[in-house]
Amino acid sequence: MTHDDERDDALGDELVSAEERAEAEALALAMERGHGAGEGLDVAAMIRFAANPAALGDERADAILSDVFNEARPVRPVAEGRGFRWLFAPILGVAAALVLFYVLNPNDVFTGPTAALPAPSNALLEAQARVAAGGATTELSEPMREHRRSLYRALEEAYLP
Amino acid sequence: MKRVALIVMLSVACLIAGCDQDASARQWVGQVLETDAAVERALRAGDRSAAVVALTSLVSAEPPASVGEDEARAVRQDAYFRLAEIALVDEAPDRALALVEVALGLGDQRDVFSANLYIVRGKAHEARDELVEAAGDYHEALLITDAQLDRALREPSQ
Repeated sequence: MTHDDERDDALGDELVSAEERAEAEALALAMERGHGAGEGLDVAAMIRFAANPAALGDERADAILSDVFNEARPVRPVAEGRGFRWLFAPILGVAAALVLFYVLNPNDVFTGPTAALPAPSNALLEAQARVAAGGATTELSEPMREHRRSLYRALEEAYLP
Repeated sequence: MKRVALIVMLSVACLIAGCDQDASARQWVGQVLETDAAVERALRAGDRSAAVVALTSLVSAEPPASVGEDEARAVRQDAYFRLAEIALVDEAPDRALALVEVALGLGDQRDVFSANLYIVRGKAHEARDELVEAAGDYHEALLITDAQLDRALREPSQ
């Protein structure tokens, strides 16, 4: 059963005379909208309602009105989601800035620059073992100076241009 | 127009934040290098007080967050070790012990820097005739050194 058929049933045969049906069909044809008689019947019913408000029941009036509203407010899919569109521009801006920052500082993004701590020399480890076994701390001076230089070199490479 | 302004402001803020991080890290590394040079000069001249002033200034400065934690810890623990060494030369083992406690509080990563701290703490205990505590610290230092030597033997390229 189509929508038009349902609407015809809603209007009811007892309220729609053969003459009105013929007029409605003629009206629909005259409007050249390609619709069946249903729409014309609605018009006929509304004309009759204008002449006699008691002629239409609430249910029928609602059915007709819902059709009117459906046609009066066509769906506009373009408008959906428009409220959040303004967010795209700043997000795009931040992304562009990050890309630019990455191009300028490829090692610094997300983790920041880091310097791997240098591995100790065997000379330093041996000196530490000797001092821990009772030697003088001065034995650490030279190997520690060397190790310090390695550490500072790593820091310079990581943080100084 | 407002959107364009917002984009420009956010972009500039991001770039400034990145540049500012770099600048503070550079400044800190610069201070580390200057301090080392000043300490070396002072010790060559026999001016331990000047060395202490320079090293104290370095350990007092909070490293910026943009510097790696491990690097900052290593530099500061080494500075504390040098301060503790000077304290021992100045026959102030109590001061040496206090300095080592602070330094170990930065983290014990079982590397050459923490081994040095255990060694100098052992020397401080020895100076106070606390031989058991001294032996414990030397043992700890030897354990770290042994592990480091073992690692060096397994990775000879380093």
